[in-house]
Amino acid sequence: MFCIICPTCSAASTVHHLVEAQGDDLEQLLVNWLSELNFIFQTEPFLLAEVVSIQLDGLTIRAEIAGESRALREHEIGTEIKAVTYHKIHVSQKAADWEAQVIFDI
Amino acid sequence: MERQDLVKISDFLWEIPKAGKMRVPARIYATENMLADILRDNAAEQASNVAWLPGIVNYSFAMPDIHWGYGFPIGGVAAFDVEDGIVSPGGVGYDINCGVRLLRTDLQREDLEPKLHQVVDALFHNIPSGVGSKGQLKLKPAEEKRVLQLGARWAVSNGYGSEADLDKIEENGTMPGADPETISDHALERGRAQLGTLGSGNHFVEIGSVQEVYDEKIAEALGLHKNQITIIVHTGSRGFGHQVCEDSIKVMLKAADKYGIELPDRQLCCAPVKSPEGERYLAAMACAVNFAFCNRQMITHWAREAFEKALHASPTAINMKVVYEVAHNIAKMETHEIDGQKRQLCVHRKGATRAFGPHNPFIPEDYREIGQPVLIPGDMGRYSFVLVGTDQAMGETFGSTCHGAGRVMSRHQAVRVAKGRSIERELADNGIYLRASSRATVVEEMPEAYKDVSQVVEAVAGAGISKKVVKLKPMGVIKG
Repeated sequence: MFCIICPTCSAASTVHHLVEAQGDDLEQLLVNWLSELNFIFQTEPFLLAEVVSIQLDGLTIRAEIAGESRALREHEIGTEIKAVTYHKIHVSQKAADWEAQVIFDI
Repeated sequence: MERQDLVKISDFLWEIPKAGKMRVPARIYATENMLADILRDNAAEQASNVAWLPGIVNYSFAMPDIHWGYGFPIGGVAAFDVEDGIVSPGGVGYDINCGVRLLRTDLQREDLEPKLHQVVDALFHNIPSGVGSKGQLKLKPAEEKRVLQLGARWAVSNGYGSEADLDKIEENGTMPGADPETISDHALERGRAQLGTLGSGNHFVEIGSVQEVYDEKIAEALGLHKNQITIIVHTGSRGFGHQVCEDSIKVMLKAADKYGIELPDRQLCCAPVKSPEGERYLAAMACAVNFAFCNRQMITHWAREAFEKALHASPTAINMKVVYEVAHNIAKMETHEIDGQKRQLCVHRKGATRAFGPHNPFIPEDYREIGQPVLIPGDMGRYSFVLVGTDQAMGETFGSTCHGAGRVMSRHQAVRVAKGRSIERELADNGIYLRASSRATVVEEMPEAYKDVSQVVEAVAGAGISKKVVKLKPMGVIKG
């Protein structure tokens, strides 16, 4: 998602956030998680450098993320994410990995 | 869906017959040569899906600029009986009250041409735009809530423009029923950051001139004449509206299950109009509607300032007045006559514009003889149009018409097609000066990425649901 917002980004990990998201099913969880990250981008603004840690506990995600705040002028912004949508959304687990497809309204 | 699934009603109107779980047929306003594009992107199927929803009245409508959207198509109109029908955030869109304001001036094209760059540069500096741009206001939460209740009236009370502006805005710039207590902290935070900003993507402020007049009498009533300088403001409720829609979809997903509403597509999630969830959405939506009305009023004030500064001219000399302002992503409670009976309906217009006919009490007194102005922006390279609503629109489409051009290329396609080209230079060669915050936006918004809006306008005019008044030609554009 942040590659759409900032395609050539190399944000530094100077600011840390603890983020939590919940859902009634995996798809809702994915939408709510990405929406929360977009909210942080929109309001600080914040560009993600890395996900320091992430835990999936049932239908709750708890994560620590790191990135840069108020750095939009130094980075080439691609486009704004208006919303994370449910269109053709797909989340599944394959062995230890997760695969997901999500469409953003840009 | 294929061409043979459509039944021709007239040269400008096609029907998808009621089938399966559709409660009513779907009807598409378009000319025959527009159908291939409409069918290719599955928008027609989306119009049929909307027809599943409870309480839908007459038809699920699609305007000629219909294209694929989230759940509901963009360019869709659907009205639901308030007693047994639903309300759905997807039928309004993420950018609640994305809309268009048209301003006229006492300037002529030849007055502005020598100073065009200065004026566009002044607009670009005066009006915050672009991804991540922040508004200049530092609103306290209590004051923000007043914005959400009062809309454009808040802006006027705080020195942005004048009372006279409000008469020429749909809903007079204040939608009743807004309840800030329905708004999440996330939405309030995004709103505080972004009030008084243009945004990015397809939002813009455009200086143009009247290129052609189709109806002299109506143009005169609107204060428009050939070569006159006009300004179009196209923007919406920014991240505030997006967040309200997002928050509402979460609620409506549960509500659709709770009320046993069967959905062909999850994104059509909804609740009965007269349910706590439905009423809450409408109260929150009204807040976002007012946010956008306020936003466009503030941008108008800055546009006036920019012109005065760049031209060293007084407000009286420029005389920048609101012609009209329309919303094209909204749900409205309206009374319409259905089979001889007056019924209260919740009319959803997503990428569609209200187009009330003459003598309607909800349009400004100055315009009652001619009908409600309808503002149809095209792409930044070609033209935009001013239309008026008609009695036929009242009878057929709940007083609704198209809203714009619709994309014909995806953003990725536009990037590919634009490789090696300077879109700014091409526009400049056509006499159009562009200032934009982002190179990416310029490419994604190139004129070729959009359908030709004149085709859309000819289709609604041919169908009789709108009447052409003037064509506007762009001269200067600012984009985020």
